[in-house]
Amino acid sequence: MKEIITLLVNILIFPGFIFLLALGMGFHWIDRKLIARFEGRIGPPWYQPLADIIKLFAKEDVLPTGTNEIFALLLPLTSFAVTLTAGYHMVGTLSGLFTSFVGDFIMVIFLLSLPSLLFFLGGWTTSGVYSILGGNRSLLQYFSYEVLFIMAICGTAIASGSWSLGGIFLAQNEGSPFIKYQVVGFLMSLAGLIGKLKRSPYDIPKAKSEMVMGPLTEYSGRKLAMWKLADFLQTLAGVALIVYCYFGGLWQPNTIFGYLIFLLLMILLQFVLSIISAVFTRLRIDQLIDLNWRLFIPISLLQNILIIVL
Amino acid sequence: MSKITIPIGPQHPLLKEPLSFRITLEGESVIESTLRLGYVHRGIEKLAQTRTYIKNITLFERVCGICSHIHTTTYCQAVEGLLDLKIPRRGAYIRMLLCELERIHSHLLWLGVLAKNIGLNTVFMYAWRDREIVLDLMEEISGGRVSHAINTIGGVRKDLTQTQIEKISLDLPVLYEKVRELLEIVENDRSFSARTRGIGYLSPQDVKRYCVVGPVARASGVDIDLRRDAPNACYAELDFNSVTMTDGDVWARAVVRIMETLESIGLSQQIVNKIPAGEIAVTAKRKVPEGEFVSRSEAPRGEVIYFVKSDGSQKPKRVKVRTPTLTALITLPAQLEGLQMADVSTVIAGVDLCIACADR
Amino acid sequence: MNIEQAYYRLQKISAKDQAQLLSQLNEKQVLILSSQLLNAVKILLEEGVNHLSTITGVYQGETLIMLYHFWLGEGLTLRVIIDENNNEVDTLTQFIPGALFYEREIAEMFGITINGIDTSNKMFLPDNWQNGAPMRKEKAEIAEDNSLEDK
Repeated sequence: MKEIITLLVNILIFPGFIFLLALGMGFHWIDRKLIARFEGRIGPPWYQPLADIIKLFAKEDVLPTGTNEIFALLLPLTSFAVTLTAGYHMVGTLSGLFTSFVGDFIMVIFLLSLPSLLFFLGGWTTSGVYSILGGNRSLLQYFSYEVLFIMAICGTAIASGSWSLGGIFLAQNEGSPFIKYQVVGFLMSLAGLIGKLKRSPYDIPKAKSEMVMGPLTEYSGRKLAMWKLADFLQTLAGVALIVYCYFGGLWQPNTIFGYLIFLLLMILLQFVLSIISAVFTRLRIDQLIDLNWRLFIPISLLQNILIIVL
Repeated sequence: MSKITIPIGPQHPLLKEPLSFRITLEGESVIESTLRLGYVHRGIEKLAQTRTYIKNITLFERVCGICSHIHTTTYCQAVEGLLDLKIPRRGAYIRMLLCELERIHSHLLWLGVLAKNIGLNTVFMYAWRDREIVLDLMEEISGGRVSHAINTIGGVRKDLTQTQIEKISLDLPVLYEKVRELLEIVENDRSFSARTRGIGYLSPQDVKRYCVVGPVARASGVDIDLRRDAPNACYAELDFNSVTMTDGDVWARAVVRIMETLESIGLSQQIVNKIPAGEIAVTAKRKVPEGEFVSRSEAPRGEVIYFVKSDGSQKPKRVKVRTPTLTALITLPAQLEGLQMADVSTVIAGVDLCIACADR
Repeated sequence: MNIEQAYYRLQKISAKDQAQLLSQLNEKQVLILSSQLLNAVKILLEEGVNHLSTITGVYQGETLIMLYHFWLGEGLTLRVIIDENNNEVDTLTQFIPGALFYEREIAEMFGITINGIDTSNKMFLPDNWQNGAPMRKEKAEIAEDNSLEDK
């Protein structure tokens, strides 16, 4: 009985549902506030993301006729669910709540790459000109930047010699954080993350002035709220993964100090992401793909080869 | 590759005013585009025939929100020409001052819109924040931020006080520095160049064939500037350069417009320094003698031409307005051919659109 | 290559017998018949006058006149008399492609047929507009604004 209650508390409150949502919204708020300050504006108050989600849940939910309603509901729900699971696992491993098993690194990466695919499928389901065109672009971007992210972050797994998050952490704990030797890999996985999250300068699929809202054009109400929540959580989990894999040994697990350092590193990374968003223009799809395959992938390939050899 | 037709407009986040494009894509490149105006057609020319000359000033101010002052200036010049009136120099200087301030505000607005459409939100916010300085100045002078109601037939209605002149002289150098920073971004920023260089090229021959005017023509090397070539309202007494470039793409248009803004700031300073004392208006008769008059002037987007025909009564027989946006719209299908979908928004924003002007 | 020369040459093909259709204008103007339009435009282009500002339709008494406003350093207006019976004029777009929108507007607002371009699509008026050409003299004027009439 006690286990069931503990399990429910874990899933629903910490480090589950409520905690993850709160943290995800908090990071989204940091992003918006930072970008606003860079642009010379004041920015929204801290409760803005929460207010947005509540408002979206209260709105009417319309879809174009002919859309497969079941899919249109399942896709955002699944997106939300997988990002929640990824976040839950990350936080759980971090707090020592459950031990990480071999292969959970791959599992987290897989869970974090699903939302992009579901994003494209979401556009395909509610077929409309903007949705399909935006979906095509997002698929192109997905193929390119997922590969980059996986390649870059696998560098850490290769260097640590294990496919589990715990193993990666231990390797950094004993040695030094991977950031010291794998700066290039860190930068590449950051670029990959920006592409996965469809943030500026890679926000072609969501570019308002080009594709209205891309694949999400026809969604409204609760479904749109779930897409947005999936987005927040994907950001959270992605940033947490990068911090975990590259800055591993800098904290002691399951201590208050450790949590604080982890949080600080995540906020720092969010800073970097926001600065990049505010400073660059949106790249065209061909410039994006070009940059990826001609520059980033060869660099991360080289990095991985070097890691294997040395 | 299959063809797909995308509608842009009449409602689209890219457009500030309704305009309908149908763009046919094959793969990623545009093969054809058609354009439909008329969503904001208000029948202003027909309406002008039923109102007196004075009441028409209010009507023509509302042809466009961004370049409202130049419309009333040109219209008043036409009617003053028919009445054979010469307006006092102080009135002419006040008209010129507002024309130049309006040019600054229009170009800064345009820069923000272009930056937003290519994803550089930061420049959008900066440009519109700097535009607030100009709007505050215009509100000081005339009482309204975009709709000034300062022209009348025979001159202007409000005078410039000494405090206003001092405020203008204080604010203009601040604005100059800020626009200089924007110019540096436009000229040097790599991501801005990557999105705007080589896009939407118009050759000088095309410019002449399509009778394009304004910064679009000057960016392709065709040097026409009515303030210098057919000066109205004392422009002949002022000293300025007209900016031309030869690149002919959206980037060149951005540079031309920002440099023109700097010139306009200099012009405003000259106007404020040189403004003569005297009357600001002469009284005009209500009944305008028979005749026709063609009046041209340089709006922020190019040449505005007004044709007024009078039959001796208090109401005009015919007023014809041609705004510069119409000349740029003709070139859009030619510019869009062969471009990628993502560049469509850049080109549409690069030709400074003011559909309310074009539709009347 | 200047506008004086063009004006001089145009005077030779002008319709001198219908001088009552001229009106006092602040620019140089030449009155021609609609059949002479393309000749006149060729002369203008040869003299380097290739900027067409706009095309205006206006009533001079009972006759409909089209004004082509050109510009090169100063303005020059071609005053083209539209024959009531056939109500048509040739297009300039093969020489000056930029005239397209102006011609379509005139065709729509005044009901003139422009030979050589497709004016079946409306440009400013709605697609289902049935009330004819709005600027034509026969059309009922819109209600006069008699409030606050000046004495």
